[in-house]
Amino acid sequence: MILYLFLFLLLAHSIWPQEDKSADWYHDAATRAISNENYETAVKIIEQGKEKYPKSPELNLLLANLYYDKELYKLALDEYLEAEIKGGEEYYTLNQISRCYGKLNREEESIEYLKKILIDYPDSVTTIDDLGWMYFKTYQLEKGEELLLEAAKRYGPDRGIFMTLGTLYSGMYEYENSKQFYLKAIDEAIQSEDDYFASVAYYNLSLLEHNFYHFYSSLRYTEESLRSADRAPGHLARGELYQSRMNFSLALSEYQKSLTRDTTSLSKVNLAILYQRFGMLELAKRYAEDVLNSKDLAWMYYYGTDIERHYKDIHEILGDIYEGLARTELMKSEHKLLVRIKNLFLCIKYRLIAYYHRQKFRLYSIQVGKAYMEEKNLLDANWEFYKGNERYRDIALNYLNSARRFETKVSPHSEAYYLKEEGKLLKSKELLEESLSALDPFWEKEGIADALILLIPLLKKNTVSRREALNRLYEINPGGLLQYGFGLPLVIDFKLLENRRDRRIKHILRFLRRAGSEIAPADNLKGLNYGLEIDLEKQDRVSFKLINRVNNKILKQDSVDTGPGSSRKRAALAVKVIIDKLYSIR
Amino acid sequence: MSMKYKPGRGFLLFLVRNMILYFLLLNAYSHLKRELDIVFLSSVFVLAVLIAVWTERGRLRFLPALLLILLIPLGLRFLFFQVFGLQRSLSPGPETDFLYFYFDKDFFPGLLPFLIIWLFNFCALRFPVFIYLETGFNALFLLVIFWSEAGYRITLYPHPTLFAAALLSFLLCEILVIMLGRLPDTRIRAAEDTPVSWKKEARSFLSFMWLIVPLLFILLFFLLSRFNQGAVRLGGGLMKPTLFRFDFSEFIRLESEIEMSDDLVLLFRKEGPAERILLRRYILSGFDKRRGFYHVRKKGLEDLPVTVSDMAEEIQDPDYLARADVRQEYFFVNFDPTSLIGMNYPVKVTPLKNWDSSSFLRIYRVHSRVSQAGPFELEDIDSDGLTPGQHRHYTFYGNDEEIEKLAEEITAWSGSESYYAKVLLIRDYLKTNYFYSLKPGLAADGDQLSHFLFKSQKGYCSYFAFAMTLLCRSLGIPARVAVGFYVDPETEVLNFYEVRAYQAHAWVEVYFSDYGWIEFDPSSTEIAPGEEFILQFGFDFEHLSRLIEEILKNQDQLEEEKHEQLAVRKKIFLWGGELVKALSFVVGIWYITLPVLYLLTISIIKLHTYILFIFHSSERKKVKYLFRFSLVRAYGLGLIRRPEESIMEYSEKLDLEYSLNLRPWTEYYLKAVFDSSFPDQDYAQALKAYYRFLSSFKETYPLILRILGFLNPMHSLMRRA
Repeated sequence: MILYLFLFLLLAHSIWPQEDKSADWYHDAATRAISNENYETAVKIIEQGKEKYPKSPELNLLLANLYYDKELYKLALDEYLEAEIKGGEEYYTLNQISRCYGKLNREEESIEYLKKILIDYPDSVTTIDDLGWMYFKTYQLEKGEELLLEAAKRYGPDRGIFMTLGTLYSGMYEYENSKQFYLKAIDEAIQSEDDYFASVAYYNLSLLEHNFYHFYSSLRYTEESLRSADRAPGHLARGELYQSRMNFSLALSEYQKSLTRDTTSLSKVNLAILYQRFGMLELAKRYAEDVLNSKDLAWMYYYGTDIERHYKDIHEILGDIYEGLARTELMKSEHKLLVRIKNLFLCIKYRLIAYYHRQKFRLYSIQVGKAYMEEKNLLDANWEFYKGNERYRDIALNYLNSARRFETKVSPHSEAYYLKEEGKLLKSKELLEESLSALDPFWEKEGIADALILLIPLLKKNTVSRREALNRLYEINPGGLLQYGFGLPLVIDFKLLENRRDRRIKHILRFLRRAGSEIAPADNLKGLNYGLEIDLEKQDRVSFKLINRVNNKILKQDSVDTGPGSSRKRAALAVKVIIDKLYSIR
Repeated sequence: MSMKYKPGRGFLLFLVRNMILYFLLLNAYSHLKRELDIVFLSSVFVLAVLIAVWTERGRLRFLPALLLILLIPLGLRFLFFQVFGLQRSLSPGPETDFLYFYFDKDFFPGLLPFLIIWLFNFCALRFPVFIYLETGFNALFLLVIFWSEAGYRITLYPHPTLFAAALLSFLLCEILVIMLGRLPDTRIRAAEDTPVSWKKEARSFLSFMWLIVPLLFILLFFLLSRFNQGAVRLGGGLMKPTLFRFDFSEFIRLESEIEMSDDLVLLFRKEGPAERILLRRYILSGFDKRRGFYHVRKKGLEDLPVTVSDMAEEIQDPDYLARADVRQEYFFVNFDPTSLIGMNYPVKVTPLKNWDSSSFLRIYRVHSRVSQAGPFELEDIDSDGLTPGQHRHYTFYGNDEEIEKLAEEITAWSGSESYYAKVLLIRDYLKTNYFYSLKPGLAADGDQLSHFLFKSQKGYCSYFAFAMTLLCRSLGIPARVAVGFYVDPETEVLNFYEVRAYQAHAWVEVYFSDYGWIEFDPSSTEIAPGEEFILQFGFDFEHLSRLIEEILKNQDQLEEEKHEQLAVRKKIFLWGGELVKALSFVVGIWYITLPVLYLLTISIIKLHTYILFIFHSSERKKVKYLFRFSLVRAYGLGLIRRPEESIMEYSEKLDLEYSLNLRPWTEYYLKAVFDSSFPDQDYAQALKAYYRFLSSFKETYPLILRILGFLNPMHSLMRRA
């Protein structure tokens, strides 16, 4: 009998064991399952627990944390919100909700939650700092400034608050204030031996200096940033400075270093821009399209950008890349008619793709401009509206001048860039030349190259001024000519066996002209700094030298085995190699 | 009483033609559906059609009409810009400034379709014969639009079935257009004012369609085949499209070039240990030098099921040593729902109930016993345990001496007789001396594997798996290729893993006594020089999170499926599966099936009168059928009898112009049909007359022309005598 009773009790226990399980039991069991990586079991336990204890927020929080750790922010947000409804309105829950909104690029909701936290926890400096940062992200700069200055006064020095203040002032184009707060943040960080923080602050300071065209200071702070911590953004910033000096190899090296340390798409974007600038269009295309196709955008939370801005930049680069590809397709030295036809089709295809990217860029520019406008950031809004309406001169000019009024007031040197843009819109040689003379010949070579690219088509062909502009562009960036339809003006000197006529000459000259080069007649050599010496003594081989005619220095030389075949074919092969060599960067 | 075509026919033709044009327009712009305003594009379409009708009704000549049509959009743009200018002056601000841009954004992409749609409509209304040309152009457009869309990249069709349905509708509409557009005949009849018999019309139409329909179907198969090729390349040379979904191929060939697609195939959840996650779809143990490795279903071999049935299925556990339980759940997104995938060795497959409006095609659970055996366990093991037949099968390598020599060279210096050591040496040799490449190149002699092993030294996973399997087999080590998906354990999110098309993989399984088939992955991770892959496929967290959310929300419903009328369903299921496979095979070799189908059909149609002649007992009827057969042969060569001709006039014409000796044969035919008596002698004379006609026919037309005449579908259905 006792045995039956015992068995009955045992059975009853095994049938109704859940009745005894407390919320803590579910919490503990789920926690154990999570630590054993039995997530399915954990989720099941939590769901059972939630059903049984619908008023307890603890299980929601446990599940939310699991989702948050796994970067499933939308799922995490739902759980945190449910926890909040169930009464878990603690600092942690609200802060996590705000973070989730931030990660999901829903800034306004994130701000709402930060404000909510500050009602219950008005002394939370971290929350104040976060709110300041979100104000910066949504361009509510005055609000951010007021909030953080008040906090700095009330709670004393805090490097986080100082840095956000620096960033806010940088957004307001208040150079002195911004620099002062960044330096304060750096001091604080150094005193606390927080190298990582110091590195970020130095990096921000270097960006500020760059924005205000203080290139030397910018480089110095970038070096400091990297000395404090070897981070990807530091390399990116240093690469950008080298790029503005049009130093390809240094910039490339920095971007590659950044790429190995980077968790964002920014290094790839910079690499795409660099390769495009220097005419390596296929590589640029691959990087840019990779970024465009990338679906991971959560990194934007920590950066002063958003999805529209990011895509706007990518489409702009891709537009430039495809424009360049379209132009170079027609400049290729091909001797076969079918290949020429194929090139023509490719050119049309690339033009259409370029048109698509340009339109996307303009569309995003207008969207971004509208967002800035809502945020009352008139300088950037006007600039974006200008970019979006570039095809409509009067409208574009209007927005360009509005942006100019704002920016030249705080940064007079920016006038050089506005002159360039105005010159581009009005197709004015004078404005572009004025811009060129205002740009720093060492630090702003990139700007100079851009202005030259705009100026050259406005100059009459075969004139000294055009030749000089082309020479200057070539000196800055040999890879930047072909993609804009330009070729280096050349004096050609053929070396032949005595008394022999070579049919290759005619074709070589034609192919070089097709590649955009002006081949000057002997009586008009002014402004022609480069000579191309082509040795045709052998029928199946062509050797060539590019010579600087000013100092008679050989700049580049090579030879190519053209093999047998028609003179046209051999000439085409030779010119292909000549062009590759002539416009190569390395 | 005279009867002409009703006016509705012309309108129907107009409607169907424009439906086709609209279909092409939508597909052409499917890439830009987020960028282009569909309302604007549709307005452009309607405007172009209306202007075409207007210019045609106005009897404008072609060139002035074309000029006008070039000016109209520009004029409209000018007008719109004037209105925008007015708006700007009345309410200045960004919104009115942007009107120009927003208008142009759609205007320029709309210009080309505007011109084409106008041109097609104008020409079709003005020149009825243009309808036939239009059909050709449409087919060409279709080809151009979808040519670049190979590999399921169509944005308009989320599902290949929809794509197939759209293509089929397109074909049917085109056939309808041709049918409705047979205007020359219509005009003749209208001029003659003769009543139109629908039977004659249909027969005459079908005769004509003999030529067009196969052409259109060839186009369809051509596109589908292009899709197949694209999908196989995108599936890493391993996957292929079935009629409706992706699946692995049971035959794996070595391709000269493959691509990788990042289409989401399935979601997979795992609980239990497993350092390396290889989800196996097929075991390819059969080898043929020409065909490559293929799946074998043979008694005596390990024959695991390859499809998931409707009910839970237990597979006998061979009780291999050192195995751990691993539970997997598969959530198919774009994969053949009947396919069974599982980690090695599956012991139970349980189909799970799918919820309403689920994002998944099929859900099932697999319990596997996954090997945990390490070097210590395997070091001294051999292949005992296989029957001699199995051993022979798994060690067959085609007696390739080069491979055997290489295998011996690789393993020579180890000094160890351990078969595990040899397997490792071969794997490491391939891993370290060869490069991974998506473009292994084409072997001059067609032997891709030899090209890989001894020349190019670069290939994708199948190359490595083939090579390792054959190298092992040449040493007498039982090995086989396995295909499925490789899953990176690092990509885990809450025990869920995304499986995308580019994760399709091939690896090697080697048999170890007591421990079973153990996986080895010989694929190199070194990318071939000059082939920098900078593409990194990132997670689409938002999508993944949505799917996971859906699963978690419906987790309670994930129970075993209930089985009503299981036996019947299972039968239907199996038959369906077999039917789909058979159809896939037939579609796959369309270049053979289509001509065979054509030959079969035309033979039935053209020879059926001759067959009736042979089997009919009545002599009158025999003569009648034989005469009809003679006419079919003549029609095939274009010797058509005009409607106004009598049969005798027709025979005389053929005798006179082509020396065919048809008249006597016709006389006997008429006698057989109309005379009150037709004795045996007449029948014998009739046959003689037929043979005389036949010999004259053979004299006039050489064999090749007669064959072509037989194959000619035109007028094959005409039976008038």
